[in-house]
Amino acid sequence: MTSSSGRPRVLVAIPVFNEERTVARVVQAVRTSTPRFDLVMVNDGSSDRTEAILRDLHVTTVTHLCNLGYGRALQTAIRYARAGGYDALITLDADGQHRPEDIERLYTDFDAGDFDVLIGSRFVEQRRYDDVPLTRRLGMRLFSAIVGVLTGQVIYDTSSGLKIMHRRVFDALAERPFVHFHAEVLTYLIASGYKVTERPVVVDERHFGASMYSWLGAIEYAPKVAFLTLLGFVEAHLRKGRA
Amino acid sequence: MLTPTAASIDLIAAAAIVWLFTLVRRDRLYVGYSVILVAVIVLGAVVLSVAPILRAVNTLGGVVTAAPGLILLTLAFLVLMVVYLLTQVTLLANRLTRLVQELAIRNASTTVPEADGITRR
Repeated sequence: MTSSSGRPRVLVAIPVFNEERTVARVVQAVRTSTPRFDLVMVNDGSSDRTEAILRDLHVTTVTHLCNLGYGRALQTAIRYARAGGYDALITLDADGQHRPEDIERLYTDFDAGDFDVLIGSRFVEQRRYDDVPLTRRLGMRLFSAIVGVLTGQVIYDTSSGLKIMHRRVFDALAERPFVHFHAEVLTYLIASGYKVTERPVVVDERHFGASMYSWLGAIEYAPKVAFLTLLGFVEAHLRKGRA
Repeated sequence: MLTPTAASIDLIAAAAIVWLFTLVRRDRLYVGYSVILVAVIVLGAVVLSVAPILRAVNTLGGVVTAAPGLILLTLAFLVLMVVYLLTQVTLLANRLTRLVQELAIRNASTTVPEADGITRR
């Protein structure tokens, strides 16, 4: 489905949870850099002034009545895009670390390459994780290796929040259980035969707010995502076997 | 050398892990619960099937007599009950999540300032 002008309909979705200090700047930057794309904010049950700020910005907002987590917020965005008949969905984080000016360039690559998922990657160019704290670096190496072993394709930045998805993957993702839309989803998609790739982007330092991973969350993250990654791999092969 | 008892314990543990895996695949069990259950099952299987580890645990725990079979059966029953309860919690959580997501999508809102200066929703 395309718009009446014949151009693909593209939705930019930004999950947001308690980002009152950055959300206005991010919305304005996205509006300025990609005026031809629709924008929706997925407010994941914020308890600060985020919702009021979004209302003042007159931006379309999908509000969860309670906090469901990052993965579920992304899933809501996918369902919204599917229900709205969009051709592609672009997701980015609301913490101001992504540069909205990267979106247009990434989308041009995405459109030209006929990809199913394109990841805005911090590491695909240098192929090293030198600037990342040690524990995070270990996690990134681990999940990059797991995806590589299971699918034969190395993804250097499995946890990037900047992604572009074609509507071909909407059905596959709208109903699947996933936690963070990281290695577990990428493995499932690649093993299912979808075309996933990375393109370099610059990610700025986080100036406000806290990371979504508390120390307990970080401990939980590895086994959960590893388990789901393995499961996604098995699921993809079972589906292929049945088809 | 794996004894027949240890082999049976490992087989039962493997079957339990496959069962949990299937539950998560069908979205009947939250992955966070399953990770804990799998860790407990693997740990239990290792302790029960490797004699030196079992002896060490017994010594550490001050166990003077071997646990009768009835206690093992009771533990197995408790694990089953925990899995059952967690699947019910997961089902409820999934329904709640779906409800929250659908409500959010149906109530998606934009406040648009019109040309006459009145903001409409």
